Amino acid sequence: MGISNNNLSRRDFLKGSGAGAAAVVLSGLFEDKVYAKDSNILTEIKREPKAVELRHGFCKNVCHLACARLTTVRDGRVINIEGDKDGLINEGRLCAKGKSVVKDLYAPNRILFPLKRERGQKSFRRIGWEQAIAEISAKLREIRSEWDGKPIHHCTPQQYRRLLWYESPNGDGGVAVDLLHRLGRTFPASLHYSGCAGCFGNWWRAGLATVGSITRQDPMMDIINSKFILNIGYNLAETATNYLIWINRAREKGAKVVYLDVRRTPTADQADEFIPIRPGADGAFILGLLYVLLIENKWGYKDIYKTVEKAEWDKFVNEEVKKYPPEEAEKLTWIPAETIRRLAKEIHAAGRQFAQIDGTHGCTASNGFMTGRLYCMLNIALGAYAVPGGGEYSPKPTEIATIKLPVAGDLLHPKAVRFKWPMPAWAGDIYDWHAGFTTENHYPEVAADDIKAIMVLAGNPLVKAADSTSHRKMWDHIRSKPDSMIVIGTNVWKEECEYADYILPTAVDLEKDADDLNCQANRFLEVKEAEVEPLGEAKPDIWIWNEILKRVYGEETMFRQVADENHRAKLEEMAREGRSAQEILAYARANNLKEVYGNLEIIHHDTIKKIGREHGYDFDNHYRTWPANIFDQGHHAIFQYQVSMSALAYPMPEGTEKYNPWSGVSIKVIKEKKGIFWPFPLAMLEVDPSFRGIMKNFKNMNPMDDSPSYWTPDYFYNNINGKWVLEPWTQGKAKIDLKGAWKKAGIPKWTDVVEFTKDRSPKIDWSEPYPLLMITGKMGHMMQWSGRFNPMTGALQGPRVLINPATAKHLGVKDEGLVKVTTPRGSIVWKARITETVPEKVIFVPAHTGPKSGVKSYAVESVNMLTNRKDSDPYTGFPAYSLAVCKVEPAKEVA
Amino acid sequence: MEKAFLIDVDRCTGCHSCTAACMLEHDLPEGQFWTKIESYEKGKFPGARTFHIPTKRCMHCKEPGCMKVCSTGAIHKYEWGTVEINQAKCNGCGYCIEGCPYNVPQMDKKTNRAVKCNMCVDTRMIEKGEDPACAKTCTMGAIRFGDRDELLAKAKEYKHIYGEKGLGGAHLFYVSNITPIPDLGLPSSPAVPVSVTLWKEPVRYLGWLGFLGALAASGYQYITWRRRQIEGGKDERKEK
Repeated sequence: MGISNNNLSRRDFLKGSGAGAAAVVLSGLFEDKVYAKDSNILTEIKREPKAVELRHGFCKNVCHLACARLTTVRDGRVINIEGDKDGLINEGRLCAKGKSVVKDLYAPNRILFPLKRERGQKSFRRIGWEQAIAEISAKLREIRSEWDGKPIHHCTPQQYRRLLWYESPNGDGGVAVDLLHRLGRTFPASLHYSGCAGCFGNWWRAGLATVGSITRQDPMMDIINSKFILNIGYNLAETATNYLIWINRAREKGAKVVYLDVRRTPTADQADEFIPIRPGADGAFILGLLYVLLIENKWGYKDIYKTVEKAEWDKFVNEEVKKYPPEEAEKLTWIPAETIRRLAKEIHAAGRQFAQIDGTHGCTASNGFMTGRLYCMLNIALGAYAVPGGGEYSPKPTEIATIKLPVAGDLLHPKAVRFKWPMPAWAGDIYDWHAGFTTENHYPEVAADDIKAIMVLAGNPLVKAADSTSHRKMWDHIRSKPDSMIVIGTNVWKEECEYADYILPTAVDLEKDADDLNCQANRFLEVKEAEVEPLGEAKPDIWIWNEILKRVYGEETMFRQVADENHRAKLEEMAREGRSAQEILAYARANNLKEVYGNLEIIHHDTIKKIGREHGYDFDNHYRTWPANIFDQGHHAIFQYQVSMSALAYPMPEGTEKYNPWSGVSIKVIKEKKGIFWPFPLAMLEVDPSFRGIMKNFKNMNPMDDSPSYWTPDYFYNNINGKWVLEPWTQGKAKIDLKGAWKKAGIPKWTDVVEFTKDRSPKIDWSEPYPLLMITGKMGHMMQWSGRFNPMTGALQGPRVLINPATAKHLGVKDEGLVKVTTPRGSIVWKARITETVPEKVIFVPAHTGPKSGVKSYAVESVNMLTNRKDSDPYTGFPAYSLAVCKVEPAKEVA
Repeated sequence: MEKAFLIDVDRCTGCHSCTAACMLEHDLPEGQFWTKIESYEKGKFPGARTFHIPTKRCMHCKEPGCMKVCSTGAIHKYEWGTVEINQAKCNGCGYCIEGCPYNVPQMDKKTNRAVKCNMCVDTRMIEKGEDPACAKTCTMGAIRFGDRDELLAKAKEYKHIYGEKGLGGAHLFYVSNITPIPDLGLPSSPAVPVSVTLWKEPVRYLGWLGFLGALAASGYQYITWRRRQIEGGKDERKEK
């Protein structure tokens, strides 16, 4: 058992640290009773129809559907949770994972109080919030004092990298993007890992580099207008369950649904046709289709040159597509050439009403960036993007219900200043924010001596990060330094707590002001009706981090990064005089000092209602981040809502309405096929060739700030020859960038994943050291948000390695028997499930989970510990964690 | 108007949301399920199809075996078809478990009473058209709830239908166009086991006979004892 590698093994560390979950009885870990199960706080609730309140809210699960939900609360306790019939996407349904939030809320190992453990001690003791915040902020101030007050460009890279921090949409205590910005400003160029980056990294960048938008999907329900639906491995049935019914509705209307995947998932069972494909070969399949569509026949979109540069497109077709006749694609994809030809014909028959469902997981192999770009290319070739029922569809941040509207400072102030991204530290620093998130496989090298503190704002990186072994190694190293500090914000005991000096209990979803798991949602605008008081002394994460940051880098010093010395002196003087933050912000705005920002605030529903009344709209009925009926009120209401919330102070830019991207999306509109336009340049280009992108509108709304509402670190700045320039399309005509200016990516092309360069056959060569292929994926339908197996499902309470019967027979593996899965990185031992849902050469190992559950950590081992460090995407540097070569053998040891 | 469930197993993806909804709705302890997904794999890759069926859920029979064998009369039927176990009357004898050919009722370990799906009759106005928790939440619309006649007519459009026959017909129909339902773990010709019926009918009369016999014997015993007491001059009652 355990992960094995050359240096320090997991078990060794746990032994050595004396704080390992495996070795420790948790009751001995605490000097005080800190778990919910130890108090009478979880006493059973009896159902009484009286005194029950129904509260509206929306599910902030990571599937991004944002289902409307109704919570039943009695005496301040949640007793039931179900879907809201008024919900736009879910119509009253709510999946098991969405319901499991109740189990997270009342988890037996919910931590109720702030805890501290002195170095050298084994056990944690309960402390008060004041002490926790004072001590943590003092330590952060001390770290920062090394360079505080200096102009930013005078600091060394090492000085910036004193802090490593984590946030994640998946787990607990998710943090609003704006809070991240604030932390990023306080510690510029600090090392930052986001769970979002792990999953979306390549996929976002692929869209960005090709069609100029990270979120290029259509509103989800619009798929019912499609005629042909190609689902490229998005296993909706097990991850975003409530969306699948919409695809079935399209089927009932006559659309054909083809599902492409390595594994025969329950989503495949619901499709008209399942096409098994070789792992990592999605791009080759798309090129095969394009060959039939564009070269064998002239079936492409006839007005293609309206949206792409002719020379670039022709180059793509003649140089790249030409290499992949179906016979060649067959060798790479295991899909017969005649199947590719038939599909191309069927797709052509659907015309522009071709819908493609793709998830981010197809982009997490080592060719993920280019695969994501080829996803876009098929839609461009068919002209599918700009029509109802055409284009890419996916619940991954579509933002229909959860558009992000970052705000900061006093939002209601007429001259509020918005956040912006931290300034670039120095050109060429790969850890600078503008170069993207730090890719974790670089961590061990950089970690060594720069980092002095780790702060987990949210997330479970030691289990769920793409390469958790790298994280663990680094944490071991940092923990070994006597003057380091590790702070974990969490609601339950988890792996990271084993390393902690401080554990800060966070409120969870359903509790007041707490936990917005979906980082695309805007907690500031969130409906705060579905809330109960936090359990014990838990606090909303936004309160916790805001309090800490205020003391580290409070309003009196928030202008330290202002480069202009005269302005800095003036601001310092204003602070000394005790002038209000509003005055300081006003001064900053008047003088175009972008480095100054204010504190965070939460907007409650009452404020939203008030704004609605002021503008003559009904914003009262909030179900999601949007008022439920906003789409019925038309685009004026929608835009008013956005403007009111996001940029209240700024006048609506001229011509905005013309380009308002959210032009009244509603079921009615979708069903009547009046057409909907999405915030995506391609759709707009057909309407108005002079369209220059929605970002411009946002930019106009905020004359001080060059950051738009859309969020990705690489969105605006790109380091070209050592100079930071805005990229790729905010300053010009929206376009499809086939040249691949981004990171010099060039024209979209397909390359095989690293592991397959030798062996592409579907046959197993048992003489190979790693004869099998391991794919990973989520089994979200069985899980709780926190990653624990959901006891409410009656399904498996632990992960299973899926193995084909023929392979299992050869290996001597039995159903429910233990197997050891080994990749070049290490091994894990889990139970096997013999099944015909995987091909002989491939095993499936679920991600984001481990075998251990209960009141200890949820998962000790994780498939993400097997990620091969050598295989990262050459363009983006993201680790390839969805796919690896492996060997499997029966195991006896208990995992 | 009689109510019924219609469960389309072709549509079910095994998402477990019905199970979770049921647990929350009825505040069930962990490990107790009034509806639970079972999965069955058929065929070989890539043609393998996995069928999921929400099972362990009451069929709400017209002539329920459980009701027939219940020793305390705790099981009753509503006019719209719901079969419910009255927890106040149940004595935990467990005959209903034996009497159900679908093996549905189970013992609540804490209360030691038999429990099972009650169509949410205690939590929702199902007779007035509200959906039970499972039907409302079903992410694929595989579980439908409504008027029995209408749903039976719909069920007959499918190639395979289950629940129409057996124990007088059920208020739950499983349907599929692909697989016969008995392949998914349900009995092909459900009937109340003869042994349990015997228990309730002739055997129970034998029981009564035995009881009366015992009563007679103890009466006889008392008379003879009393006689001995009096004969022996030790009539305690008299002395008092």
